[in-house]
Amino acid sequence: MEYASIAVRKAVQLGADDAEAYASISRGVEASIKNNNLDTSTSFEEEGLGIRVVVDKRVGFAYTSALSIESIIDAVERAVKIARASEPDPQWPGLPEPRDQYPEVRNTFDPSIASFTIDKAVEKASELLRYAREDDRVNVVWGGVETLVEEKAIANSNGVYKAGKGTFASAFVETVANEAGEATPSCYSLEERRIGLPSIEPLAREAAEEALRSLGAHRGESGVKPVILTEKALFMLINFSLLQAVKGDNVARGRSPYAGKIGEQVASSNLNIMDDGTMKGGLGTWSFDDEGVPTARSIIIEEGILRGFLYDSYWAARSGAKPTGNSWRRSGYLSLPTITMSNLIISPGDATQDEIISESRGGILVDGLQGAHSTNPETGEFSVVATPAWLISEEGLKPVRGLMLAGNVYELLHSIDMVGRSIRSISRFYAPWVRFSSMRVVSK
Amino acid sequence: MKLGAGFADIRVQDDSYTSISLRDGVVESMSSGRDHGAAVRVLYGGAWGFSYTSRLDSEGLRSALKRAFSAARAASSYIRRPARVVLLDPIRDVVEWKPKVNPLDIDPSSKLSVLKEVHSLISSEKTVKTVSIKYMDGVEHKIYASTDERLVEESRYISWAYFWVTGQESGVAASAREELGSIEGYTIFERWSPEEISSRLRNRIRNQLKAKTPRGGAYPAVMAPNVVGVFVHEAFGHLAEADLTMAGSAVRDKFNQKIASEKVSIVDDPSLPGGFGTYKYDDEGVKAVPARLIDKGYMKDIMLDREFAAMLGRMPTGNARAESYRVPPLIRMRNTVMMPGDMSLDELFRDIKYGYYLVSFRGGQANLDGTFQVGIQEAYEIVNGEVGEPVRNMSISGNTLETLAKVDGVAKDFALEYGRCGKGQTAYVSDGGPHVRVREIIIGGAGS
Repeated sequence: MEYASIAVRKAVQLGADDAEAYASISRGVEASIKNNNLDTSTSFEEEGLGIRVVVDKRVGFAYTSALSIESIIDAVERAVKIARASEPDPQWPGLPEPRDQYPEVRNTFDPSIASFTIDKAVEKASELLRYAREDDRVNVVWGGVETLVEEKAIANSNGVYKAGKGTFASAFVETVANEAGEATPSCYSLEERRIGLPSIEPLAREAAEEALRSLGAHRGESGVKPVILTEKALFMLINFSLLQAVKGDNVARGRSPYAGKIGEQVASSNLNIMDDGTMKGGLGTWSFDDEGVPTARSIIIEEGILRGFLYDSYWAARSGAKPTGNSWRRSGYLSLPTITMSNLIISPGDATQDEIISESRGGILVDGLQGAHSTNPETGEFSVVATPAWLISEEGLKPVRGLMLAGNVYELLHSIDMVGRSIRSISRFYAPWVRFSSMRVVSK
Repeated sequence: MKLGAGFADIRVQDDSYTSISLRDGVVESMSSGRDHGAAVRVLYGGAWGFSYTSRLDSEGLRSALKRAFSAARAASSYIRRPARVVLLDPIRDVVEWKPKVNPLDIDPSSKLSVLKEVHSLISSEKTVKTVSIKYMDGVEHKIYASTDERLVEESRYISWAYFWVTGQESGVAASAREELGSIEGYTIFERWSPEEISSRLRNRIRNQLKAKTPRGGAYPAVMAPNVVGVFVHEAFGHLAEADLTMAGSAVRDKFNQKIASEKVSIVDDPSLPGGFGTYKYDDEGVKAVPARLIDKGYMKDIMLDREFAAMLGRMPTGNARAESYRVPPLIRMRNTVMMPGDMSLDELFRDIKYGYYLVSFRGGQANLDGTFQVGIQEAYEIVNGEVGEPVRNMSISGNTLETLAKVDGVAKDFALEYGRCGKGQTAYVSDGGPHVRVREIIIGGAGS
């Protein structure tokens, strides 16, 4: 991983004022399932390096998918060339400076995941398929078992050098139940971990049961009702609105309704949101971000009051704020870093799931949203299909289909009146069930 | 093969890219990528194993082959429906799509200055609020080798540009998109001048701002090639990709049946000159041939890779494409077009008392059950056979096969569009056709 430092030195030699290199090596196996059958099994190794250089405040980026001296020099030369062809960014603040203190992070590397074989992955995937299909009305559309081990290093011309490694394991299954000509909407279960393996049997059973519980769906009725969103549905709802609004670049560019609202009540007082890149075993946990800045715990919303935003080094400098260690590269070495959540955590409340359901008669329980990407992040207006979803009736949960939820995310955050006590994750998002006291529901 | 595999192939890819992103005239990023690696597939005991590596030395390749083999062998003991592939005759070939202008020979700063020129021409319209421009060019170089002794090498020089503009005037919002591409190298701005690109986008914004909203309901419509293109690709084409057909799409049991008006012929053609999806060999080393999806109203071919061809007892059509060496190929479209007919544009419009002229789309979605919805960014009323006032916030929707059955006029003109198709992986595709008249189509407001 000394390639990162070599690339930085070369860039400076070629006349770069600032240079930053990100090198990574990853290995993984994946056994996938498609239409009730094992699909392609994959085992891969990949390495590469991305280099960002700045010449007279002109920024250029280049990458190579080979970690050899020759390819790296070629990448650095291309980066310098393209930087010279670009235009100066008068506000370029420089790259991060070295820091003395980095958080110690735990449960991010598991040797047994690192040495996981494709044979084991295939065996687990086949188990997943078997448990999910115990009832022959259940079909597995898609699924798989996957592990990844990743090493990365970041170096810059200010003297930052950080290296680390992490492991990831996940299992995923998407089911549909078919009976008497009816096909349910697709349901899925997902478990992702840093150490230890996902529990295949409960995961498969959960996805199968959810599909079976979606059989016999009726059209729901329109109205204004209490709506419970599971962590999956809640993630879809806020991913394209709230989670965009708290990014420092959107705030600085006037693309966030939260600009200038620090200290104001933006949600009901039982809502607490933070981002914690240091969370024990978190999916987004590292000791440093992809610019080499220490990760941290950042309070975003505390008891409904807006407390802070997420920053990388560039937008922190432009906004007079401190970087929060939220600079991540979406496509690894192929990409420049952007402001992204690390582990976004909604704090648990005190209600059990049974309590939330029993106090929501006539309301709707929603485990997924379709069309959430069309949400307007600046205004918060949304219109989505709730699927799968259940009506909470006297006799229990009854599946409903074709229900649209519509409204304004930022306004609805004030109507959260129950927060569940148990937390689950989807991607890097950790949340309990949340109940909105009233939401507009339209039956199509 | 020595290890007992039924089939194996290797795809080495070496791509170089330059990309530029401009937001409101400010450089967001300029980058240069060199992405090379190899993909290996092994079919053993009816199970597919896949591996890739970015290390192209003999150790890296050997290790990838070993990994792919172990993956296939591990899966083979659990497989329920063994996969088979169509094996082909040995071949050796080298194909280079010669660029008119090699993008690697042009300094990135001159590309940037053209993009800045387009930006300033667009933003000279005072109702324009934001302008996003993305540009990419590069060379894709692939070498394919398989155990049925096919060794082919192919390179293409691509350039691509995408423009997204929003506008606003007295409370009315408008947006317009344009996407252009070429496989002849750095020729986009030679073919479409900055003036032409910007005036298209400015006109769309201007028209929307002064436009009326559509009457909802079923109306006769004339679709321009751009809308015909998105219709034949999104609404129809995906149904005829063998993996989706066999997963139960609306055309699954329709082979040799009449599924459209006899005026309709749709072909997915990999050989159209200048098409964004034009190539000679696919990513399974199969020589790409046209798939005649609909011939005079009858469903003939579907798009096949080696595996689905074996399953259906047909020959592969060369539709297997992979986004990069990191993924195995999937069945993808190439240049999907409706074939021109014999009517003049005037004849097409003449009999319409009231209807809509659908000029350009904004995005769409289609489902496997054959329902679709397409947003229209540029549309006009047709009144007594004449193109009338602009209409905004419009969408068309309905059932694909019912709509194809209502095609009652096909013009003799033809135009090709350029874009990308996402199906988990991105592929460069073209689509298009002539102007086409539909007896009726459901017109709605956007999002309705």
